[in-house]
Amino acid sequence: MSHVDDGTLHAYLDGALDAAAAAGLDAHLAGCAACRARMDEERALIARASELLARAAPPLPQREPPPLHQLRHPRLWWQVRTPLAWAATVVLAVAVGWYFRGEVPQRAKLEPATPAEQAARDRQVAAEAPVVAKSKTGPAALQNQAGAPARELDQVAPAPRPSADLALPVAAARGELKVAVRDEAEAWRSIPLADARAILGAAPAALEGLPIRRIQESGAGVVVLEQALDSATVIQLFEQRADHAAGLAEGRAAQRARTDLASERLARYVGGLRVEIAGPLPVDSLSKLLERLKPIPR
Amino acid sequence: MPDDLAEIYRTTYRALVRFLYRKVWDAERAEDLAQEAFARALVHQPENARGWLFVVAANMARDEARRAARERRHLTLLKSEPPPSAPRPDEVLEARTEAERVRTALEQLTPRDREVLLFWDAGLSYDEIATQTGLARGAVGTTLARARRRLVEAYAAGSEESHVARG
Repeated sequence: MSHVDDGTLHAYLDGALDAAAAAGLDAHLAGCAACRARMDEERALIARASELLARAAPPLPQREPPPLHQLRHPRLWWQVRTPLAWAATVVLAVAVGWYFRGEVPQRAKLEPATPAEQAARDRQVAAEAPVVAKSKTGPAALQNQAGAPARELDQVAPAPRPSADLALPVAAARGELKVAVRDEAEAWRSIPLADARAILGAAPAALEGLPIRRIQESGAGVVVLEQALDSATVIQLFEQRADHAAGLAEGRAAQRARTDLASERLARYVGGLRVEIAGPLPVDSLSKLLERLKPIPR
Repeated sequence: MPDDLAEIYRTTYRALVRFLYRKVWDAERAEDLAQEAFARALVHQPENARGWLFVVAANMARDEARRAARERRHLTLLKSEPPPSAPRPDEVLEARTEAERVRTALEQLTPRDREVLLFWDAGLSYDEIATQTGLARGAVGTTLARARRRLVEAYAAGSEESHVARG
């Protein structure tokens, strides 16, 4: 007589055989000791496999998941994980004690400068630019008020370009990085933080601990926030409301910048906003910076 | 239906996290991805939400693994983690070794076999597994049989090696 194959045995043991097939198997087993023995072996195998899989489980304790409805409309911005001490490794020229007060100094359009002029300008930028301060009350307060914060949706564009394409010469980076976006014929204009907040309907996201050089808007709902990573490197954050369909809300300037800088952009959703990052850094460094974005605290 | 999804959320969330953990091997990340999968389900309102969730989660984990592999190949400009400081107690080491060994054994399976095994362990039925993987329902049992055997054998082989290595 024909014996039972492994697949059928396992289906039987998993309770997945329909009644007729199960009855047929029972009938066979009644008269076949060999298959009964195999059945015992397979049962033990299944148990062993389950036991092994159980060992590959996430270590406890785990967070209580947020209520389901909160996942769709995240209102809380703060991440549960506190940022690590990455800021200490970033080269800064900023005085401790600056707090962001809601106003960005209106800066004149940057022009290419001699190295001496640029160095003096950099010192001036560092001295007077506001810093996004670590808020001591924000995360804890918000967490207490509303329970576990919602998660944010991450997106990363595909395939990075070679670093060489993105690395700009230092001198060029100082004066010309803005050129990729800042075609002055387009309607980019500098705005204070309060205006940015109004345009976006939420606090703009920024990198904690870095001075903000300026905030500009395109007139089509796109805000770009520039932060100085060091005296020669500027990070640009293109922000728009997340519920704007991709591309529709961006002005021509932003579209052009998109093709100028890279065919792909790294993007992330932070607190109801879609944020893209650009700068003369390798993609994985940009990606790490992207993970550090937080809304600017009030 | 939103009601169904709430119920599925209640009953399946932990299983989804566990399923994702066996792909990304990071508890926090597994939770993040599980929540994102449910967030997407809220938007898409799929039929057969349970099966859909696991497939979407598997895709997200796979995309993430590709991204992580790319990042490792580049030199990084910024360090993001402080160096590990205190040594861990022995019991924790032991548990990590256990999970690591199971992980290694799992990686010996073919992607299809591993996926089916993880789906089953996450609580999906044969029907759901068949729908989401494209396997014929009759082939699910065969795949599971092979996957389980391979897992147990690979784990045993791995244990032998480590014993030999310790001398």
